[in-house]
Amino acid sequence: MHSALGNIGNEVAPMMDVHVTNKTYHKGAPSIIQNLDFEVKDGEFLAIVGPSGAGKSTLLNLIAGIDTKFEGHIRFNTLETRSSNLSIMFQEPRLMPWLNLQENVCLVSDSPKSTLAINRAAELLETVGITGSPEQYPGQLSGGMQRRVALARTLMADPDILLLDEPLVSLDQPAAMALRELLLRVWRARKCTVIYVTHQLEEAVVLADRILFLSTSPTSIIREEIIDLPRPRRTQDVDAVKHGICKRAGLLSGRLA
Amino acid sequence: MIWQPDMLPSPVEVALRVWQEAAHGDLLANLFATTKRVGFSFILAMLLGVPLGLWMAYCRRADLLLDGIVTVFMNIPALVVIILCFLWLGLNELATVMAVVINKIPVIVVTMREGGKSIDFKLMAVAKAFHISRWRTLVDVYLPQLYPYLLAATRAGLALVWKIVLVAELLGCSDGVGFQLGIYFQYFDIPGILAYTFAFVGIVILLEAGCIRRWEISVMRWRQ
Repeated sequence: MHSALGNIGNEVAPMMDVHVTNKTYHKGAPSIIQNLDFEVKDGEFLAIVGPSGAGKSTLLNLIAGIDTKFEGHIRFNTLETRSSNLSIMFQEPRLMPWLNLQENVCLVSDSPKSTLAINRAAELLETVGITGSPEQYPGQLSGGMQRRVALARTLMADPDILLLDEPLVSLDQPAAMALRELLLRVWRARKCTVIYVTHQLEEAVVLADRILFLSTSPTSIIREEIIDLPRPRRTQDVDAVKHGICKRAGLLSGRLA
Repeated sequence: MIWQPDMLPSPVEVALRVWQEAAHGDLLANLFATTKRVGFSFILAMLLGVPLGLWMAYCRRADLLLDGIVTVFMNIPALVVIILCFLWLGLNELATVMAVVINKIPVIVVTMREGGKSIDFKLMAVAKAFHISRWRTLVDVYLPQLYPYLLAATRAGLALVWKIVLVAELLGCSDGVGFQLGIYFQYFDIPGILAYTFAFVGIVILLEAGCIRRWEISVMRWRQ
């Protein structure tokens, strides 16, 4: 069992407590996640890094409440925060092909046909860089653009906690950089808590305050790193930071795939 | 067989006969009787077949239990079901409707079972993750995935239902297009047979263009 609380300082109370003692896909099957225990501070940008198949997406599904079959608990400690204030961006955009962009973003609103929701969706689509008609369907957009729409949908829910499941995977370098910048801008503006899952150490270094490293079979936390370098400097120093982390962790490469 | 001109009347002759039957005969009454039977049987078959097909898609036990029965009913000739229904229930409306429904349900069940299995549960997870209400999950996430299958079941179903209704009317009803076709068959009245056929096909085309096609355009707009 691993506790991260001691290392992140006590000045801000943890907003979320994740404690998964055991997760299997069906009875009698081997554990996917075992004795995984960490806390997340309010407003923190936490990255969870692990190789493909490490159970990162499964962990996000547990936190999001999509999968409720596990032993342990996930608690939201502040009074205002409930699981309904939590929003997830999946690894694939998962847009509804039959809804246009505006309808896709409004889908997560309580009153999707209201002028308020429509205006807000338009504003969010503009924020994420969708300049074309909101009447377009997802099938008319590239993969990168669909991810931006998915991010707009995630933000439409106005979340306190933002769960991001490898949002930059399979994007080309310029698109990934643009979306990374956008994520940081949104995080700063909204002051939400972000849990960012990736297998790219570079992404985690550039974006996160803290990185948790996961092992496979079964998934558990093997290491924690606090990134205390100012963000503007991270892009240029990313290789040195990665090298330092890998050296401390005894890893050969920054890519944990 | 030597060809005779009476075997295939001209379009004008058939059109005139349609007009005569509509103005002075029982064409409209018979069309109404048949359309009523088709509509009632079709709606009943869809109401029973769609949930049954979806149940089989999601419940493995139900699928294992009912799969064999559905296959058997799909392969029993429609004529046998019609005759048995008339023998068991008598020559009445209930027997006619039951015969059509029993013939139609297996086709709907098989189509909808495939539709249910094709549901993308990753999209359903989106609805769950964002706490979208059950009603909106049904309307905005679940049903749009089923529409292609519902359309296929509707189209195939309607085509099948009206053919079976006509056979049922021929065998055991005292009105309807099928009943009238039987009478014209006995009189070897080919213009009469064609007049009734085209009149009914006209109704089916109107239904297709006016309802089903419009529905398809409205729900499948995103594919165009």
